[in-house]
Amino acid sequence: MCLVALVVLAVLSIFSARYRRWAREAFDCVGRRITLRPCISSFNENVRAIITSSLMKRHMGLARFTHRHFEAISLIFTAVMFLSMAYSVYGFYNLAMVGTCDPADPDNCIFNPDGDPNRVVCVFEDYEPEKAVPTIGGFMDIESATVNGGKPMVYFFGTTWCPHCGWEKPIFEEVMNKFNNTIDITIVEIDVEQPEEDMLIFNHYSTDGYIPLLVLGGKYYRIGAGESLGEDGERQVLTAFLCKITRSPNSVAECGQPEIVELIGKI
Amino acid sequence: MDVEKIRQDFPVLQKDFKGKPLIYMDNACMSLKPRQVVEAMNQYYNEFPACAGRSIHRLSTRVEEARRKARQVMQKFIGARKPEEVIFTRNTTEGLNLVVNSLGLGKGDIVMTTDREHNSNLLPCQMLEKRKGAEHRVCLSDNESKFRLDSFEEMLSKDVKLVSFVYTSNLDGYTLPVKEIIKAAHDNGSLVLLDAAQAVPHHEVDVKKLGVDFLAFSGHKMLGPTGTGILYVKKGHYDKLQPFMVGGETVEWSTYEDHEFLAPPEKFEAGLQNYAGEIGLAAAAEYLKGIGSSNIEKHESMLTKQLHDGISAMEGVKIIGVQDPEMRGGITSFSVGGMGYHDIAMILSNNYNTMVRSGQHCVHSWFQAHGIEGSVRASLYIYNTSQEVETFIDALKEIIKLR
Repeated sequence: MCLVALVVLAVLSIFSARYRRWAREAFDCVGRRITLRPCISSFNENVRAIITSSLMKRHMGLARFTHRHFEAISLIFTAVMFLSMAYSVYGFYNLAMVGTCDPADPDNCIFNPDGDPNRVVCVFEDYEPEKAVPTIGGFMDIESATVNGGKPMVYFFGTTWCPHCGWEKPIFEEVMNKFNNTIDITIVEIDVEQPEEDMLIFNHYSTDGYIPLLVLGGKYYRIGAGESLGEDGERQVLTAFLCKITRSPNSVAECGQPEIVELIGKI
Repeated sequence: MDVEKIRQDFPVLQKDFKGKPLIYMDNACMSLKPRQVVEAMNQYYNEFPACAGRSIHRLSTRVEEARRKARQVMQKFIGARKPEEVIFTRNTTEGLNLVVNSLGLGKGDIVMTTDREHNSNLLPCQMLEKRKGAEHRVCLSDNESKFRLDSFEEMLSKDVKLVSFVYTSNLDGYTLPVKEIIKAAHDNGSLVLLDAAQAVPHHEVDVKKLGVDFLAFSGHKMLGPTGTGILYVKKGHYDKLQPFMVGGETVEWSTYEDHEFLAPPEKFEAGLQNYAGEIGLAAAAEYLKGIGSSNIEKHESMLTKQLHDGISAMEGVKIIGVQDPEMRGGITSFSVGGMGYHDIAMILSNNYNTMVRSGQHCVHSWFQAHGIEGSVRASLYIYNTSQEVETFIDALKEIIKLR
């Protein structure tokens, strides 16, 4: 208990002097426990009493349970603290060595030491373009895949010289900007720059190198512009896909329009 | 006794904490202070904050006069014959230490205490044994935690020079049969020192009638300021005491080689004194005198009985020490099986704004001897009410459900 309390109180002490006395007592208690001596203060009893008295105001049964099993609860918390510390150390080690804190599922990792902290490096085992089926607007749906966790990632790959890219890009940007806070947008003009991890995605979906390539949430993709749909049609299709992968956020009114709802239903 | 009127005199009782009024039941440690005491002290600091005795200017004269009056008030308060029998100290501990260490006791001498002494009385006697070779004996209580006069009389011998007993125990509020003790001790030729810290605030103490040789008590437990106390020294016993702290204000004159002490009590009041405290202490004594010791006793007795009836009915609650509430003054110590005493005290404080003491109350020796880890102690005084006692009982009923 005093070990868990020491960690918590040490952090709280940074922000408030109110906790420093308790932190000192916890430190003394930890020192004694480590050297196999009993604590001389009633730190454990005080902490138990404070927690119990607080719980009593809210729920007597919970207070009773906590009071009766305080030692066991303390041991569990201490064990959980050690486990989470160990897992954190493991995560930091992976982050340093392989660039993600969880190589098995990088989506779990919120850190990216190389760039934008909201960007992740995706592993593509589940995203197999060869297993995709056609859906609306010329897009392909990788049926086995789910939209990536967190903010859906949306990619546009094109070049500065490709006219189809020139047609598609402004419409893409216009629609994507409406979903600004709910998606992670990446636009890559591959004749200008070729960021390594973005090119991994490009090469994965557009195996022959065709552009423009649109990838929506990792699950829906299209090689080529939507010129055949016309500007309005392309806007509606892109809007429908974005509404679907972002679950129609309240901030985007278009997701409630009948024509968009109808398109979503067809995806 | 109009308790509600008395409560109006205590500023801290007018405040509440998160909507709950303060219930103060730690009076055995420290009593609250009425505004009359605070005002008396403030008057010193605001109007004549000067030295007494050392200077001859107007302010100093005023302090000297206030101090003289304060000493007279305290003399009358404890029934001493003369003001010179009253020494101002910082607390009971200082008074007890002064007597035990100044009597010149040593090898071959025996000093006796009871088995329920506060550390402030026990430790000086133990140190006397360690440093000077005197023997320290402990007079044990009976199975009901009551004093055994017969056992005490048997333990008396010609070598027992000092009987240093607690008058009223801070453990359970039990008052010893001090008249009989003093008589037996005097018949044996032993001096008697009483620790009256818990007695003087709560019932009438007349040192003349008791015939006690030395008596010490604190101001902070009788509505007075902290850092104040009184040591009563019966006339004729000053020559037995050598001051153990000397300095300014204790001497008539001094040279590089010698000095001449002032007459007591100044001889034993070294250094600049706590003038504000002494004035405040006198104000506290007058306040208590205005209420009347018999009224105080009656009030506390009534509340203690109510408290006793309430908590003794609770399962698993054990009252410590003497069981009869009539014999316990305003103090009730208890333990609750299956619950820590600190837990109870903290929950009472956090959830019910009720202040009690927990632990071994500086009577570690008694707890060690009886194999008890500690207890909760509720100590009542003039401003506690029946409603507060009821609230305390209800709170305890809730708390013990946590077991």
